[in-house]
Amino acid sequence: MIEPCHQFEGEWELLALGALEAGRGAEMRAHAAGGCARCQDRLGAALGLVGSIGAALEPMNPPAHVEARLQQRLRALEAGTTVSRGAPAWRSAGPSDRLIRPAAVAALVACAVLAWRVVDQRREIAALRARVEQAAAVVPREAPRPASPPQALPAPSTPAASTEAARAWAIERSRLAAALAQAEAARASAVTEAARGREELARLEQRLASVAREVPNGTPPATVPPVRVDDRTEEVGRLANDVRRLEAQATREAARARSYANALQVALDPGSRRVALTAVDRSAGRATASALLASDGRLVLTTADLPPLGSDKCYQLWIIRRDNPAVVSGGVLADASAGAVVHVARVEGRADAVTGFAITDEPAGGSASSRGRKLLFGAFR
Amino acid sequence: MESLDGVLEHAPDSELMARLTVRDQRALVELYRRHGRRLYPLIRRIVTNEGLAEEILQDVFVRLWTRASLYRADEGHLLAWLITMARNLALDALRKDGRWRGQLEFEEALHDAAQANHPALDVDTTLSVRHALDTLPDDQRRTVELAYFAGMTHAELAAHLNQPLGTVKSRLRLALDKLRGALGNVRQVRVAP
Repeated sequence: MIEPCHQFEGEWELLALGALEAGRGAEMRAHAAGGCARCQDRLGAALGLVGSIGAALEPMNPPAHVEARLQQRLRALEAGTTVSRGAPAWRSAGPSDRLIRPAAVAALVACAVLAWRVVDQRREIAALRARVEQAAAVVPREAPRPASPPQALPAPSTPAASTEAARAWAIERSRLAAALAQAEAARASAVTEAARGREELARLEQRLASVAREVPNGTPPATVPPVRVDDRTEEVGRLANDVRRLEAQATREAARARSYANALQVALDPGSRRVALTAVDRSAGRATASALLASDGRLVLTTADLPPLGSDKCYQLWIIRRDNPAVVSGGVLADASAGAVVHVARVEGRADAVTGFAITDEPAGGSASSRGRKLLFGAFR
Repeated sequence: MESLDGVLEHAPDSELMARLTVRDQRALVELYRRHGRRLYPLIRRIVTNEGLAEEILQDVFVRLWTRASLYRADEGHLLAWLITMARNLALDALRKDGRWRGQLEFEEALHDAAQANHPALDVDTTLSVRHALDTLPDDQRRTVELAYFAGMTHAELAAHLNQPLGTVKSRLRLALDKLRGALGNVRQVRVAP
């Protein structure tokens, strides 16, 4: 009996997740396998949705030897497909051959040694490539995201420990600490691997140059694979680019780590105040922001999901104060549209006179006084 | 180890899959180099043991090699299938109860229909889903992570989290609704002129 489709509505994702009990799962599988196109569509979409959870993990390179093992397994599966090279056809020895043969053997040996050295270079370059890729994978492509909060939350330091606000504050502090640790680890790893990569590249380049000098004159015998040192030089060039890219990432990660270090210092200041900025204009979309202001005027502003602006506009922070002037610029926010971003600044004047913050869109380069739309706003209570 | 022909590095997944059907091992190795780094963290997260994760990662590509004709290779869809396969094989190794091997074979049997609605796992989608997961309430995220990475059923989740069955079902539904919304936003952005 075919169950009516509506009974399975909302459960295809649970089936794809594997969360349904055995009996219900078997019912739904039998129904889909029975040819119901509508439910097969639902199943396909559900598998895609559930699969996106696995795809959201940060990429990580497996150890280099796994590829070699995979190739071994493939060869074992496809046994019998290897190609052997033919041996040289030696002529029968004649009077003139007694003089030629030793020279030919010497040339063969020289070319074999050269071919072995180039194969050796290829192996080293492949290993270096794998290491550079592994190191690059350690460096996050975007701002490090806070890890999940620890199971046991740190006890808030304020007497109002039972309030929801204090709990949220404790969670945010622990997330900042986790993000800092992550950024520091990524930076240190990238710096170390970039330095090692530079050293190995220099060594490889020297060895390639010495191999190139040893290429014998004339064409090697057909039994030895032709050697093209130029190919390997191009690879070394590409690897050098990878190392430079890694170094640039390490520099960016260092800057990010400094931002998080500042953010953590501000968060740990017992006199710090925190305010959430919420959207007050539709064009802000899903953007949010959070400002941490220390008693010494250091400010950490975290923005997320700010919509991209055209090249003729920028986001600008405004500080609202009890002093005169009441509104002063907090600066233009660089890279504000790049996901979650931390901006670090210092407010002028008395920090305790600051009553709130606003973010507006202004002409590129910023404005002396706000002319744009007020997009986000938050006031201390 | 020979280096790959430079042409393969720039070939789309569909072309590499076509080469698998004529037994071109270099194409499979290129697919491994391209997608292995997306599957490895998933498998490691599930089985945790590094050696076992390495074996399962190879199993995924060996299975792809032996079943190349089953998979539709539109850009972005192959990765979605590989992730599904990797999860099923890893959970099969973890749970050893035959349920996940059955899930894998069921999904392969329905490959034509099931692949049609897979979203393309490009950068936009991945970032959107990652953001949605990061911003889930803790209880919902923990529930969906246990279901996905530990392969727990509703009853197992309820027992593990010491929560009523209805609460667990509700948390899963809410979490999946948010993920669906995140994927829907990505599609809307793509469609808008």
